[in-house]
Amino acid sequence: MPLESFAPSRCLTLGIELELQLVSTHDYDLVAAAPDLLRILKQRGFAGDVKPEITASMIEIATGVCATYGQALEQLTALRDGLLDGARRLDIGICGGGAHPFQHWGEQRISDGARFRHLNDLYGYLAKQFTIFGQHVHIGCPGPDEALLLLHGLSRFIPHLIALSASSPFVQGNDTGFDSARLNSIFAFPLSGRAPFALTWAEFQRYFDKMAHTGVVESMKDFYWDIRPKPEFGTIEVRVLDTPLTVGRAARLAVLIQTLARWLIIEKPFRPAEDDYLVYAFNRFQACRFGYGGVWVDPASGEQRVLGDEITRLLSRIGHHAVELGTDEAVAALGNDARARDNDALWLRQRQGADPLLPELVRQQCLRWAEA
Amino acid sequence: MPPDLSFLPAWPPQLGGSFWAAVLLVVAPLAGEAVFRLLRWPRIVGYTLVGLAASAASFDTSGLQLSEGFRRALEVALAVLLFELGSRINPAWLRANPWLIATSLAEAGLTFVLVAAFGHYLGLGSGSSVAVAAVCLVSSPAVVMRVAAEMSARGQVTERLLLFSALNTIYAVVAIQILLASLDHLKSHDPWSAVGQPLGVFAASFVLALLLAGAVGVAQRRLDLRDENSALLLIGLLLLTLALVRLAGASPLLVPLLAGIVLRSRDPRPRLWPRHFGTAGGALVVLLFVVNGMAADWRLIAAGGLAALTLIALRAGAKIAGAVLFGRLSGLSAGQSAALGVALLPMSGTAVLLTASLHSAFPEFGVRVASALAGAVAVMEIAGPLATQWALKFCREAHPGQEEARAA
Repeated sequence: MPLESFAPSRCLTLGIELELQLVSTHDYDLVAAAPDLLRILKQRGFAGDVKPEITASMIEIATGVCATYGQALEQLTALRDGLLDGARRLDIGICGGGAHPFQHWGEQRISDGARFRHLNDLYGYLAKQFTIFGQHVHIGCPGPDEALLLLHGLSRFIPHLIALSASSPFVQGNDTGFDSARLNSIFAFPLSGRAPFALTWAEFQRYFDKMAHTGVVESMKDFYWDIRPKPEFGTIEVRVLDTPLTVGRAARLAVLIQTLARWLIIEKPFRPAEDDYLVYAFNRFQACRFGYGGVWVDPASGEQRVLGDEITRLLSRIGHHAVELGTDEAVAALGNDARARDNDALWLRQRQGADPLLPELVRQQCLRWAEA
Repeated sequence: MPPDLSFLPAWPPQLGGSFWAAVLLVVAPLAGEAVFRLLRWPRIVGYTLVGLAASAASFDTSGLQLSEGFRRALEVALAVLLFELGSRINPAWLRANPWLIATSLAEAGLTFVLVAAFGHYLGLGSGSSVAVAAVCLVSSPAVVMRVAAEMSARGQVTERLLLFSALNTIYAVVAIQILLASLDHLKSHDPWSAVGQPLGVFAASFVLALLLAGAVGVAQRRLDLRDENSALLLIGLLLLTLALVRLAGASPLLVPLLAGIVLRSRDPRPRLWPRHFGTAGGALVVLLFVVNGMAADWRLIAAGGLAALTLIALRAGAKIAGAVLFGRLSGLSAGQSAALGVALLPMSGTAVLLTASLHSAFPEFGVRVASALAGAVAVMEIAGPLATQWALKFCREAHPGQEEARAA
């Protein structure tokens, strides 16, 4: 399959996808309820975009194209409420969080469908280990070259987004010590990591053709990059965020990316370079492992900073773009979180400290997800 | 003079009840494991087969039947299962999805009406017909709990199976209490007994359930219920409650079931006590099924003959039709609805206990009922667990990997 051409889209519009956990309200372990939930939503005439994911205890919701923070939050809230209505009829729980704290990957069931079966055949146990839950944010780009420029510009701030969204400290029953352990599951895939450094669509097209020629990939879907172009939507898709514990935080994170994109597109504060990626894996690891406390190395100057401080600096730099977009309130709230070193991973650790029973933690996550 | 040999044990040795009980305890787990490994059947089928074989061979089982302590232990086993079942039931689900109530009433009601009509057709009196119908509407919570637990089943059909099995038990207890009271009323012409007696039973059951739930709730806050020490405490609490149940004339089925439900709705924090309260409870559950097998006399299968088979077929048809009727509205696929009906087929443990309570209240009445029922019960004790197992596998709710790994 050749690479699709880059569809036109309105610049700086956004779309949000959230992968959610379906849990039993008895033991709060994951339950393969996606087909049941999809059936009951369809029966009730629910209009939102809801899709199955690789294993049957996951479900994905997606907003339409949004222009503003208000729209994004409104659509996410409507999706959440529709899903909760269906879930109540099935007596299952729904929650956010990048990973389920104590599920066993071996007990997960691969969803029906040719693509899921193919992934299972190809990746073996990695497919079941892929029972992790992320937020993907699409940003509309005026054209393909601008999209690639934006992609490589945003790469620098991947650690910032990881620290702000991290919500997967517990995996397979243990505290991993990571704020976002979810991303470790993605790094296991051979086509994960960063996109190749190509700043024009023609160059990217050549890369894709070469890869397709080797037979390693068939479509853009086979790349599990942190940020990847999505030509059919005319967007780039940021995929490093853990699914937050609330739709409010999901909307705030999405418009932060929108605001960063506006700053990068309009001000062009720096020219992306291949050498930016020298510190990429290091910075990303630090953010996953230590969250706000991680070290962030400025790829341009080589200067080392504490990530939490760096986030505060960055947010103050893009302040007037936030005002222009009407995202200032959301961005300021995230700035406060960074100053207070507060994220969902901290919330999960605090709750688990107060009551160590992990099923109870998942129950609290469900309550938090349903909060207004 | 022959030597005095009286100090030696008697010859041939007298093999008492405790010997045969011990033999059963050795054979039952082996049979359970055998059917599980060779046929991939639920282990409880093996336990029940051993019980059936023992009763068929007319082993001297009087030791088992006479021992008071032994029977109490079995009551506890059933109470453990009912309490576990209750603590998984979420009454709020019925409010959120009223089609569940419709489905439950449909499958239980249809079974009740069809079986009662069949009893009438056979020439049973209306009292006996109603009694048979009440016993038949139950989907044995013991079998359902055991099979679901052994398969580590989880999902919509499993959850609904447990819910409906609990509701069925409540319907049956209510129906039988009302029946007993109305029969009593016919005899004594005391209007108070017809109303007051069942109300008294329910009130006493509810109070005892609240007490048990309260006690377990306190224990849960102070102790880690996952360790063995606390498991023993739970079993002790159940024994104590059952003793009070007998004193107060409450229902030994209703009390542990309601206590579990009350406990869960009072405190939503997930409860993770060991399955069947640990090893001790687990062993009692094995025994429960052996004794169930012994209680059901397989010779009555022949005696029951066509009537028993028709009863089984009617009951199966009613349960499946009832489950399918509102299945889609309640959110299941057609296949899942039918499978739910099949999964609801087991009858045994509770059926036997209910028959026993009828029997002890009205000996002549119980015997008539027993002859119609016993054949059906004997067949369903083997077929029931297989039906539930098939249904849960069909709906892919058995935990992938685990079963195969253990059977290998």
